[in-house]
Amino acid sequence: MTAGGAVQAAIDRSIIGRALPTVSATVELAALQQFARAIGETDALYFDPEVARSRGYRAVPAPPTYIVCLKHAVCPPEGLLATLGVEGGSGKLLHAEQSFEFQQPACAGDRLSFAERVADVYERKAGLLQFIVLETTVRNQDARHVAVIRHTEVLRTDA
Amino acid sequence: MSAAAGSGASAPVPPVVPGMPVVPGMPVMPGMTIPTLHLPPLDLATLARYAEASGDHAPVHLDAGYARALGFPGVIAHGLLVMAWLGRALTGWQDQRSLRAFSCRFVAVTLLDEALSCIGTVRALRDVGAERLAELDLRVCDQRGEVKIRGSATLVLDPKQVSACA
Repeated sequence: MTAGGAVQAAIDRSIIGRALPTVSATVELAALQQFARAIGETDALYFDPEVARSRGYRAVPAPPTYIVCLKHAVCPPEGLLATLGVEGGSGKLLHAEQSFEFQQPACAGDRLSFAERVADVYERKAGLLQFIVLETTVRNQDARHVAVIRHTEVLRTDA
Repeated sequence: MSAAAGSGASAPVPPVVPGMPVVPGMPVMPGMTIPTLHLPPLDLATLARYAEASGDHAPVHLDAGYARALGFPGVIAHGLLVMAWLGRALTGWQDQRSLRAFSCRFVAVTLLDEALSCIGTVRALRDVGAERLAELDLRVCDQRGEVKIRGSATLVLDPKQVSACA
């Protein structure tokens, strides 16, 4: 399906532990509101700063999965994987798993830093499926811990 | 249900029938389900809005010809959109500050016209320090029951929802 047609070699396990350049992005209120609308959210907490403050939030919170979208916007996973030597091509790379450990919600106005590293590389089905796990530690402008994100991508070497 | 928190005595707690819904103000018990979030049949406009809002403009979510060339019957939903809906089921039940962990495995793609339901069941309760954590099993299914996502979440329960009987 891809131009080369060659079978993708196994992902090099020596990239485990490699740290990627830290990127930063600001959580914008308008972007949060747009995201909340796009996922069909109806709770005013996710739109209205007054409601957010009345419920004890610093500002409108980002819905749980928003932070990974913000990270992808400044650092798309495809580009990242390519720099690690993992070439997807059309449809060969699939998002297999996603996990979050939360310390506190990110809020509108926060400046977040995303420190990413390769957490693991492994294979299943005798190498037919190659997995790469990217782990991102998210902190806010006060260096407070916001979350740890784990993103698992699977590469089908027969595709 | 008079055995709710507050009595402090060892009043018997009625057995939980699997699938029994959680009730606001009442203790949360293993086997209970959180309120299910039902989504309308998926349409292209929803995917286009999510692409704009998330920044994920991958053509497999928007261009049917492209998706078919990859072997899909048509465009497929963003996995993270489906996970975001599951997140709404969690934050619709408990304040988002109580959410400690949330993980998903994407097991099947979601196609247009499929109507998804986001379902959470309390698997276990666990005390850590002064907090009581609820461990949830999560799944998202379409109208035929095909599972799209399996996952789990950990939430801190509000003290009012903690049973007097540990």
